[in-house]
Amino acid sequence: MTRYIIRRILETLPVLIGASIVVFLLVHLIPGGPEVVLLGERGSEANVAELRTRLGLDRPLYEQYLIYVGNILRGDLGRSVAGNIPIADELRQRFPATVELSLVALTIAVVVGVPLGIISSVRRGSWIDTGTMLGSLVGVSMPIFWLGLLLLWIFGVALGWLPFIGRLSPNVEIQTITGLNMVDAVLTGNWSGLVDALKHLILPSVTLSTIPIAIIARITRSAMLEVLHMDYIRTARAKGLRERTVILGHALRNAMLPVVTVIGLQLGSLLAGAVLTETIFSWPGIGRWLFNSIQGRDYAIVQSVTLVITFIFVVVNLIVDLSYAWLNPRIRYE
Amino acid sequence: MGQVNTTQALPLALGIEEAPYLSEWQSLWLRFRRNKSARIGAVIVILYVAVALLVPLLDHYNPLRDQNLSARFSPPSLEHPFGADNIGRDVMRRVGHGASVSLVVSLLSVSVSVVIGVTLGEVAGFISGWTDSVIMRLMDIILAFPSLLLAIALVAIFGPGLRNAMLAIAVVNIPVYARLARSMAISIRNEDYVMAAHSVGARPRHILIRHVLPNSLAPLIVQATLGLGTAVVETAALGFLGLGQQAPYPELGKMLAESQQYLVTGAWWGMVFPGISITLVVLGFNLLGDGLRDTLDPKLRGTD
Repeated sequence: MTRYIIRRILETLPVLIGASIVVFLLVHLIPGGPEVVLLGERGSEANVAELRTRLGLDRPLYEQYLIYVGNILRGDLGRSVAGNIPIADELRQRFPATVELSLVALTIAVVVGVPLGIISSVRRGSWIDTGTMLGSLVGVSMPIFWLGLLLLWIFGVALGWLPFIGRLSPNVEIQTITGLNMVDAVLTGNWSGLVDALKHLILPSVTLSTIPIAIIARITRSAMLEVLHMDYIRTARAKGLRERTVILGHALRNAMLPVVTVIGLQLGSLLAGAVLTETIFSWPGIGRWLFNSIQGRDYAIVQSVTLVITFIFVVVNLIVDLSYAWLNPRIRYE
Repeated sequence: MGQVNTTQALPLALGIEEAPYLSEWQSLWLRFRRNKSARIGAVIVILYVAVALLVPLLDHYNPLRDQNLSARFSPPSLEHPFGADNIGRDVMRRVGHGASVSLVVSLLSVSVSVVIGVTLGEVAGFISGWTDSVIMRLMDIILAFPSLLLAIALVAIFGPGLRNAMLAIAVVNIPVYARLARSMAISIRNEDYVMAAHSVGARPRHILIRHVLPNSLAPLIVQATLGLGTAVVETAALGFLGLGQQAPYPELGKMLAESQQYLVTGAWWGMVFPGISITLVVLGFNLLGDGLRDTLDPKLRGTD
């Protein structure tokens, strides 16, 4: 297993380096070059010249890349054009909002998707199976930014049941400890804050969870169907075990492998989907930050957010891969 | 679809999977017609293509002049079946023109990714060695990015607009086709007929174009059909973020973003109809793609 882990990590490194080169080069491809990135379009000629020497833009490209990577490794992502604030600081401040949203959405997806998949496979051909399959087909076909608007209009505007802007109502405050509002509210015993945070979470997290629900339900169903006609299931039934035990104890355990993989892979796409969802619900995470930076042509932020999300995406995929191998020894010895 | 001619009705009636006297194409067509999702998908896609082709031909639309303040926020009616938006533009008209924009963008971007991706993949799989390694590592790097995020970054850097959006969507989807084509090329490389072509002295280019490509066509068609659906959503997503089609030109994603600005007034029609259109089109491509997979891939036939 150790050897497998080392091999997979070594295989991931070139991909990460390649991705960082792409992100680095992106900024050099902008019409006007990186000077524009860092000064905006307002920089005077003297400013530009001064910046070029200060940032080493007159040096060869490969040297600049090494400096760039060196800075990243030291946690320095540069400064934003607009506020001239260190990007890393702002990232740290906004990141928990995205993490909270993604984790809640993923939890909803698992809690809804896995049971739906199990029931559909056991009651194959029933109305609940047909409904789930139809629903998941529509779920993957529906753009999430439209679903978000639809929910916003129904539950936010028309019925007025749920808030649809931001993470908290203006008059509510939660002391920051972890940055995850729900956790912080519990830690500080701020129950009214918790309720408010939960209410704000419902619409964006449900929006973000639809595609994962559809995918998880589909995979769970097909993995269960594959397992259900295995010999050991017949044996378990023949032994007289209760159907519940057969399904949850024998079938589900063996069907979990692909399901776990898919759940892990969804986390990466949730981060990307967060750009759209956060934009709709004015959620102050990194997705909305990326959107605002694009509007403001703050390329330095676009560059950093892209790099950070991609880095997380790659690392999560690696972890999924490793856990898959850990769950299924056959993979390791290939 | 109601009338079934006798050559096809006979095997159906006898419950025979493939009658011996049917040609390959006939039996494909028969399987296709018997597949429910393929049928529904095909109908949706054909309707969509008809709308997308006919609307620009029949209706000369100038978005720069389209404004009718007396019709602002008109709810759906006979005059405006999908209602009118915040400056009184007819939503149905704009949905129609937006649909043709999506069709053009998605067709072009999928064509670009298929041509580049398949070329790279077939070459990588067929030649193997370091060419293979270099090409596939490049594909891995593109795949390292969440695809929509990379498209967003590319358009943000190169400048918003429909052309850049189309190119970005094409670039981020290249690896999908490259990987598929490569795996097909590898599995076909050792087939007898390829060996035979080799042994009679056919050049690699000839073998690639005459043997490997035609035999990897089926899965590529399936993937490209599903890819059209993805491209429609991605185009709309970029439009929604303000990176695709620019105002005042109609585009479904852009229309959704505009509708959000006046949604609190209760004018839901500006948001509902463009959204239904995107969903239907994507659903059509997904159903058709799934149906084609069942039809074209005999190994999967009969399974769920």
